[in-house]
Amino acid sequence: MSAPILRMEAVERHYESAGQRIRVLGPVDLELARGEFVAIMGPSGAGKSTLLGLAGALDRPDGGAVFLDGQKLWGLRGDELAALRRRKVGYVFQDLNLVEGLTALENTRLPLELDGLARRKADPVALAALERVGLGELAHRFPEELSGGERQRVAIARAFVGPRELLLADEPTGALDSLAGETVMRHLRTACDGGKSALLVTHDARHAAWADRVLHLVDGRFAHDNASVGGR
Amino acid sequence: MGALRALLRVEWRNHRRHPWRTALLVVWLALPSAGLVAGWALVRTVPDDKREYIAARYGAADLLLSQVREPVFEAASTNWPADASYTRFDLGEEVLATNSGPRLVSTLAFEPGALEPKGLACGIAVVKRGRAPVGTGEVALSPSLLAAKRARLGHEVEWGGQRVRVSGVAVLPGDLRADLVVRELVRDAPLGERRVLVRYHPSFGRSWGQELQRRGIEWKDRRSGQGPHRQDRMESAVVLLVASFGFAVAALVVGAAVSVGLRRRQRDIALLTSLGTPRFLVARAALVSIVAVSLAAAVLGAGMGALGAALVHPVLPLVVGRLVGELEFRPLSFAAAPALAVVFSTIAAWPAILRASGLPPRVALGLARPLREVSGGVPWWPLGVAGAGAIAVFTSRPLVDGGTPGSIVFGSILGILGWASAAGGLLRLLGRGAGRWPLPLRLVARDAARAPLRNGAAAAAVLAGLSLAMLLSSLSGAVQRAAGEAGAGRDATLTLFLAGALGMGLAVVAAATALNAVEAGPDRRVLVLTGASPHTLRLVEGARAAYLALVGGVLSVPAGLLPTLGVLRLADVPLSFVMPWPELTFALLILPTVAFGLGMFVSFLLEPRRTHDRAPLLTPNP
Ligand SMILES: Nc1ncnc2c1ncn2[C@@H]1O[C@H](COP(=O)(O)OP(=O)(O)OP(=O)(O)O)[C@@H](O)[C@H]1O
Ligand SMILES: [Mg+2]
Repeated sequence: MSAPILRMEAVERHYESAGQRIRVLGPVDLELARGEFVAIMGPSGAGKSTLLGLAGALDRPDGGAVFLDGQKLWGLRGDELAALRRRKVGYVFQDLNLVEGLTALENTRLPLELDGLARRKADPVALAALERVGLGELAHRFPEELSGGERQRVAIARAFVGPRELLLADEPTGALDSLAGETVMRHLRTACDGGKSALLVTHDARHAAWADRVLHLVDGRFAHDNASVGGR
Repeated sequence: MGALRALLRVEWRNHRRHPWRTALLVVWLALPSAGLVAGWALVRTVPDDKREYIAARYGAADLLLSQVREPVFEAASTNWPADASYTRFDLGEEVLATNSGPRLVSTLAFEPGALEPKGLACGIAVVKRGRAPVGTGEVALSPSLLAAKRARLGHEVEWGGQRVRVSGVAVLPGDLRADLVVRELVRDAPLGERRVLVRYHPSFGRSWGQELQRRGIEWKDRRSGQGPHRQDRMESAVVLLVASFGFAVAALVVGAAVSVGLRRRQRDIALLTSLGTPRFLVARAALVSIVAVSLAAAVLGAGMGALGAALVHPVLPLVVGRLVGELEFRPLSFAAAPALAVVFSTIAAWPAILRASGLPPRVALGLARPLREVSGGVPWWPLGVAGAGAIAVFTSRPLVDGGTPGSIVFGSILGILGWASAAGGLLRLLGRGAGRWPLPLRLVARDAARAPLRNGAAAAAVLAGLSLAMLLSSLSGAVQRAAGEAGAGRDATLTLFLAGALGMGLAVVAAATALNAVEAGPDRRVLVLTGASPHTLRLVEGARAAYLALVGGVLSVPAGLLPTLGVLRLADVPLSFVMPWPELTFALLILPTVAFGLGMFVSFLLEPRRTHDRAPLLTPNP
């Protein structure tokens, strides 16, 4: 088995609040293998978003280490982090995932375009990614002409466009009705079956059921590992 | 009434909460008001009116006798009553040899006391310093001759082969720069043409004139004196044109500011309307507020203008080269300034007010997305307005008395307004055609197209200033060329004007760009998360600023050059078109480049230092 796409070792995060240092996360360990789909659940304030931010180098841990595709996230410069985000990891949040001034295709193409790929070469790749989430028809629509579920699928397509293979999703279905949420989950599942990896934070057990593993985070620690075979 | 009062109180509080924004509006509207009042007052004093024209020929006398021969005059005047008052003066020319060749100098010779304040010749020439010359050993010289002789008051100079003392500094009221020497009159040795100024005496009667004519003496009555009518119509029209430009620019700023202010309060407004406040009341309150601000600004501006004119008036002769009349304010200007301010700012604020008060509450409260604007392609009607302006300019004919027809002025204004309101539509068109542009440019073009009204206004402000600079520069170039002073160099006022236009353009572009950047905040976050490097983000913000500057600059070319062509057509002398290259370079190249640099720089300053070692500045969920 090849090296995991994401590894977190004894990662901790504290916040300063009213002069007090409060540990909101950790120490936690986590490994995400290639092609794996992991869901994280837990009560509000448990530290799920904090964990995701650390995994994606949006935030820095006070202790422990994070490895993305074997590379230690420590002391990277702004442009190095940018390159990492272009090539390795995509984020999907509850809302506002797309650039309003760019079409679905242009949004999907964005990491490739930012990486200097010619439009001629990038377009077929982006279109293929859009077709995998069933949106090939809507490629030239602007975000405000798409429904909430379609927007989230465009964000998923972008997270997995070209060589990118890790998706960090923080309640991506939070603003959707259950049917649209299920559709988004199905596309995520399909992507992971095709070799991509995803770390999903959700409050919805039915959505978590699409994952290979569900982790429960309580007060900043994993309650127990549950290595189930997710329902397809 | 109670509801309106409550809404007005909200408006008032809003002005107090953002005193700078209100102050900005007041200043923008006060400046053209001040310009109108001061400009109209000053141009009125500059050309010689009938009174000044007559005073320069008749002095304080009633009758002017010319081509007088001394024996004939003595014979004619023997019968005059003893208390008839008259004085002789001579009008001649001398040649003064200087290093740069011979110079023709006007000579005026007066009898003692004639130039005194109560003397009959008072006003034909003016002794500014010192006193009138006495005897053949003294002269009074104009400042130009003093300079040529390197002499000062009281010095002795070489003049006409003898040494004379400079007793005073004398000028012609109508031409302060003229070369003039004033001497004391010698009764039996006329210096050039002899004239006599006579105060009318009741005993003269009708026969008196016939008697003079019979003896071959020409005479004219002061009351029959033909003077020019006021020649300030052209100048007044130019002042009105410039002030209207100023008001148009101010209106754009007002429109933008009102639009931003209302947008930031759109939730409040939506709450009010969802609580049952009628929409027209909201609109009326906003309107009352903007009218009040405009009136206050115009009154302040008119006061500033009056004060400014009073301050400038004493030094005006240095600028125009002649003694100027009394300062006269035009009552109309005090009415026109507030009227123009109110009309322009109301028109500019109206669309924003309508939009804000008409927004569906669900949208205003952020519960629903606004519908995408599906409005037309080419901005036909603004272009139509511009076209109508051009037609007005090109079909107008000079007035019979050589004046400038109002159609040129209004055609030019229409043209500017047309091009300015085309800016928004153009931005929308460009936004749609941006599909193949590089990413930063594509993003900012589409962002700008999302708020075409506001960004169009910003581009229009750039347009207005620059087009006016082009117009002035091109006209002055044409006049210089016609006068054979092609190499005379650039007028400092033009440079000043260009600098002002650029400063204003940059300020407006900066304001609009800042707003666009704030609105694009969520997009920026997505760009960061998708891996845009800090450099790319800087490029985007630079392009954002440069884009509006460039659109405004490009549109300023037709808006500035078309009125120029029209004005040139009407000139009395044939003038050829002169390309205003400095203005063009600034409009198309330098302003966009500077805006680009500033945008990049500000983006750099605002950049979080995003190394992985530092605290996070990027929150995952907004
Ligand atoms: N910037 C911060 N400063 C101080 N405390 C913070 C900060 N960000 C998060 N916290 C705290 O850290 C804890 C974990 O926050 P986090 O956002 O990770 O929770 P979560 O599990 O994602 O909750 P939810 O399900 O409500 O989104 C919370 O108690 C929160 O108050
Ligand atoms: Mg969270």
